[in-house]
Amino acid sequence: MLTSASMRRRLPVSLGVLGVLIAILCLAGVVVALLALRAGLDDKDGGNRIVYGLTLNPSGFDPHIHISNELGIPFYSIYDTLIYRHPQTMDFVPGLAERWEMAPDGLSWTFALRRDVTFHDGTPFNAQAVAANLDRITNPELASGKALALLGPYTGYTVVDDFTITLHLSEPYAPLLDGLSQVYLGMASPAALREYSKNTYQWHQVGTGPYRLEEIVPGDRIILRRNPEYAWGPVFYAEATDQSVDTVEFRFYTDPATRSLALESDAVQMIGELLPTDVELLLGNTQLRVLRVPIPGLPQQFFFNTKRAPTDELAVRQALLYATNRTEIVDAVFQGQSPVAHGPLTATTPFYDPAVEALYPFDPTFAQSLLLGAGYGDSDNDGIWDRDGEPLRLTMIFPSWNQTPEVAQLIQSEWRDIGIEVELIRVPDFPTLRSYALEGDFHLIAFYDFGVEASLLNQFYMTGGANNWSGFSDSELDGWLHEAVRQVDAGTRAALYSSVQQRIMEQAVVLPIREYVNLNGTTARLDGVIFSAQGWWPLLRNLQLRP
Amino acid sequence: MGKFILQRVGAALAVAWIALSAAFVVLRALPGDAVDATLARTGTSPAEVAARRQALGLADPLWRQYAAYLGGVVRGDLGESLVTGQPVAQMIGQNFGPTAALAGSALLVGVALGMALGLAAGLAPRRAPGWLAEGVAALALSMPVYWTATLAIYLFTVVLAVLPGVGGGSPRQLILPAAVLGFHTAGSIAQVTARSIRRTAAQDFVRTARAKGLGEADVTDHILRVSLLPVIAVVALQLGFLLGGTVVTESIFVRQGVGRLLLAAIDNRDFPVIQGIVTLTALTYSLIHALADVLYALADPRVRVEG
Repeated sequence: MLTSASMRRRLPVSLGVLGVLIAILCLAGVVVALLALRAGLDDKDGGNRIVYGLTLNPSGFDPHIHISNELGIPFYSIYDTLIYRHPQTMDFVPGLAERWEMAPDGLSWTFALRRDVTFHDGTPFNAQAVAANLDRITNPELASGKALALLGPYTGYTVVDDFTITLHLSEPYAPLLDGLSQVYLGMASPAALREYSKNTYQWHQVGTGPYRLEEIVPGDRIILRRNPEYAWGPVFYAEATDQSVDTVEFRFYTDPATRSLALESDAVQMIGELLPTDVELLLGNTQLRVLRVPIPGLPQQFFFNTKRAPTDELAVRQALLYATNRTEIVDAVFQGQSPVAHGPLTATTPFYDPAVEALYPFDPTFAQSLLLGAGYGDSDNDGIWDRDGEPLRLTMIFPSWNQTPEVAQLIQSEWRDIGIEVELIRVPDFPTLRSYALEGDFHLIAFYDFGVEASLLNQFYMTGGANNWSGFSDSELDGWLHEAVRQVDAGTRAALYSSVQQRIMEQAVVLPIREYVNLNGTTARLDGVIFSAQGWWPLLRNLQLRP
Repeated sequence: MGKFILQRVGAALAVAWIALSAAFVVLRALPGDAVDATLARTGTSPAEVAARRQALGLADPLWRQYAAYLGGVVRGDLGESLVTGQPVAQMIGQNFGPTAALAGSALLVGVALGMALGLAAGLAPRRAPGWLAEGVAALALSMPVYWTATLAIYLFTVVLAVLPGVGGGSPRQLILPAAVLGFHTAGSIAQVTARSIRRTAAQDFVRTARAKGLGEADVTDHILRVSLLPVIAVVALQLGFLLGGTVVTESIFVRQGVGRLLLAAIDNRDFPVIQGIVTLTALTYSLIHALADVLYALADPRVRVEG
């Protein structure tokens, strides 16, 4: 009688305290669970397995179709290419092709292929396999984003015999060998290409490389397993040992702030694109290593709009170059982890001309004298220089990645010191950036790309080039750029690219800031961390994991 | 009741259609499309870029694209990704499980923690447990998920090293993201619970009960019965926050899921993928709301509308 009624009535009292009790219990539960988990953390399964942190989720994984540099990180080791570039010397060395020869007229290249190579699915590698790959890449239905472009003026092939193939060109094309050394022209198994459609092959890729693709779960992981049969690697591939990595699991660390945390917590054993601001801290950790890997190609830079006043005037562009303290920017934003850039190519790119380094030292006084000469001055004493009543105001467009916003802010403050006002516009993604470029609605715009082959410059600096956002046009420069692609002789090309680089800087088409450096972090137990000539792609074959 | 349910489901479908149409229009108002985001980047010639755009149907008049898309959706076909060529339904399907696991466990954490904090703050105002609970709830509401998540990762995986580092896959790697997201969900649940308790406590019937000489325990009993009802609605509302919260949480915690799929699709201007996710999210959200309405009506007959 008494019990049931009073129990029911007393319940709310306990409910009132219950809130606090639940909270305490939750906390206690969490603590117990954490302790239990901590005990369980150490018994990790053995085996040579590493987790590799990728930094962006590639838009697609098929090297013949898709364009990202990131996809090469796993897939450079799935495929072999006909030719490799030696990572140290940048020279071309044999890959799946043992020898190659250009016809005297430069219109065809003949490749003698290795005879001892099989794809991961057992299909033998031969000239027909190369032909099947070329057929696929040139098929318009595939809509190849990069592979096709790398073939340049390619017109077709002739299978000479089972292990010899000739590629035909409509005009001489020196960058062909570089294209053939990139993962985008990796050789895929013709059997797998037949079995899967253009859209589904990317989940079932089959190459001849030192690793096999075991699993792709888009947005989550890519798992590679070592190919025990592999015995046809280029000279710079190491022999397999007990400490070779058997399994590589790739995961996507798209948020830069979590990368160093993932490395410190041993969630990954190797990861790229660490924040420069995290490096100092990581260097103090003896369990970890940081590698600075320079990326050849264009530096991190801003193009001047040469079609819009006032940056259409050479004197103004030159003044802006003199007014920029690049050393200060590199020290402040990139913690000195990257070299200062001086020209349209970075110093590790073949045919780089160091003569550009002497141009445009930081000299704000000279910058102001150039502006004075162009008719500018502070007539209304408001701190901003003007001419004919027009204040010297510039618009700068840049994306949010690679610390570009911090770079832009420093430039803004440096230029304000000499009386130039800069409006900063930060865009969230590439399509928005491109739309500003196409509308010409800017004075400076951040844009760059990577690559070992200096002909990369063509799309950015030739009149009407697909990515010529500066709108610059110089017929003599066009001639040099065109000729450098046709000439195979390295000396001739070097001379042409020297002229190109000097002309671009004399004309102040671009404001180079820093040479791109990929800050990679690894566990100290990992040896043999070497990257391909292109800079982005690790040689998984050479990794050695000490216990 | 049948008519009531039918009304709510109809409303949910209408909301999904509006969301789909809004997504369709807004996406096309943004600069650039999938061809700009991918092919055009590599220096491909303008002619080839235009041909590709034509082939993908992006050059068609807007009304035709809309009609084609809507026709597909009605037939249950969400289209194919413009970038990978994968069917959108398949892409969402692959990513739905991890997101549901994250959102579900975060909701559990959020409701448990939120109710506990709310009860403490509502029943013990101006006392230590009440102050504490209110403080924690305010923190949960005011700190950005991004910040708490980074802090939690640093604390639990690096300093204390009691949890595995961020990544997807193992169930243990769900603990931290669910706790962080749940913590933020708890904030508003706690505040609504506490406010509702206080509002009820100030009502006449409570004063009458006290005047009648009822013990404080019985008064609390009466208060709770009335005041916990609005919490159902707020829990349903929190699902909206959770669906948004998973986008950030998945990125930071390196988890597979619909949120990350959406981020990547936006970067690539992969219209069909974005539209598919927006439509399904709107549908899920409004169906859950319909469910909450029905539950609410079951719990409190006053809510049932006539007609």
